[in-house]
Amino acid sequence: MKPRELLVRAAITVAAVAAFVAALLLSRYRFDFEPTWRYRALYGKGLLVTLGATAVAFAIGMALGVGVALLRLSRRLAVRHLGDLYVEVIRGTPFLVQVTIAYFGIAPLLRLNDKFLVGTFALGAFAAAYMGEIFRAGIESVDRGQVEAARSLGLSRAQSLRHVVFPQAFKRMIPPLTGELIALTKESSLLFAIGLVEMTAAARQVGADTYKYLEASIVVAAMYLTLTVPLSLLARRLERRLKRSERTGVHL
Amino acid sequence: MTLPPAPPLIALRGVTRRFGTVTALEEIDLAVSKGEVVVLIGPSGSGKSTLLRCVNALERPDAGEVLLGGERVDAARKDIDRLRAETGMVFQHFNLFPHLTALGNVALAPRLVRGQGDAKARALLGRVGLADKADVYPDMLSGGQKQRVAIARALAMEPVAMLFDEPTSALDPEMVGEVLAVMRDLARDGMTMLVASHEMGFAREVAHRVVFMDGGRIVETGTPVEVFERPRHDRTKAFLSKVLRA
Repeated sequence: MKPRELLVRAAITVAAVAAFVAALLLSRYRFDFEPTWRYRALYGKGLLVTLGATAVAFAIGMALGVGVALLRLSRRLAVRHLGDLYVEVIRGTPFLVQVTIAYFGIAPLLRLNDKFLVGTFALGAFAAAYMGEIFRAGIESVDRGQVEAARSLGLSRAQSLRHVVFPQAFKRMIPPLTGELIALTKESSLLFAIGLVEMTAAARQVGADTYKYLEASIVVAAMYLTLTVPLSLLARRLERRLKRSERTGVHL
Repeated sequence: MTLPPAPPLIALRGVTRRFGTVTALEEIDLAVSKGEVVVLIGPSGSGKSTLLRCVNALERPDAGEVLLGGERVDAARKDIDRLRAETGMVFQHFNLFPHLTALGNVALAPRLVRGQGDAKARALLGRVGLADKADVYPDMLSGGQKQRVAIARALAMEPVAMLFDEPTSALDPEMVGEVLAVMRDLARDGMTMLVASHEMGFAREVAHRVVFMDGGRIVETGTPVEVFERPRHDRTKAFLSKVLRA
């Protein structure tokens, strides 16, 4: 980042935070973060659950997402439709509803009652629909001539995908995938619906126990931002580097 | 130049290819012998590219068949990958793999398909005069250099024939010569070549046979002298008078 840009961004950030704090102070609300601090262990547990659920769901989403993308890119109509159907159902219903159905409907059938396992899997399956679209767009963004060149050399379909298409597509997918990781971090808060105590659920519990709902929420908001802002900065950096590399051949 | 009679290495029999209502190729019959250099000329959209792409199974004929060394080229056959490797395809827009170095581009197929090392790929880069560019990415190469890497890549699987789809059309004029020089060397070494090109000078000098196409059909075919000096069809005459004046 150029020094001038950095300066402007820092100044605006500080001003916005100051304005927020000033507004809170003017409201004459008497802040008391002491009870919140007493519940730091609960926040810590929530943080671990949020991190764990997000990371595992992201990994599951990657694996399933590649599958969804390949389904939707299939030459067979029936296979393609299966992929379309999956994406439509997942994207057309709220995750809150999906995870409830997964926990109370599907998990008993599979004799599972581990909340973390079921919730994380549901979150991963949810992410797969969105990540599948990212993968599909990335694969389709690679010029047709690339596959033709690969096939003309005698590479199989799978080899062409693995060695020619994916390496090029993946580079272009990094920024949107980072965005998806940020979205998942927040989406994981909905796992409270099946009784999983992640960060947001922890904050609600602190609020309920101490009646300091506002303080508890401000704390958890700051925790989310601590997780998501670095990711978002990283995504922007990668994007800039990517733009440069597509012009001059610097490779990620 | 005269050639001894030999069974054709590449044979097209009644090949027809349609795109919707457009007929790109209509009832094409063409045979190319081993060691022969055949140059396809004709206006844009006359079917030259489609013809080449049928030989490499990048297009599937709606009717007729393409034979390579007596084997039917058909994208549906199980060993199509092996058959495709028998012909080296050079594209108008190079289609180099941007994430691989020049050497990586040339070495990829021999490594994946045949488990070979880089030595031959390096030698091929030397053959097209780019030994010093082995570790350079395509972005940093000029158009002429890119196309020479692409030729080396197409040679890497030791094809029995080379297919060139307007290899110099996307190049700046000053880079055409270096690519044609490489192609001339290949022809001199006895490589069987099927070339779609607008380079009439190259056709005249290197081709054993020139095929004039228009509207998806072969209008006339003959030695360069026959086609360029004594064209029989009006369409050939009209086309040549346009391109040779330029």
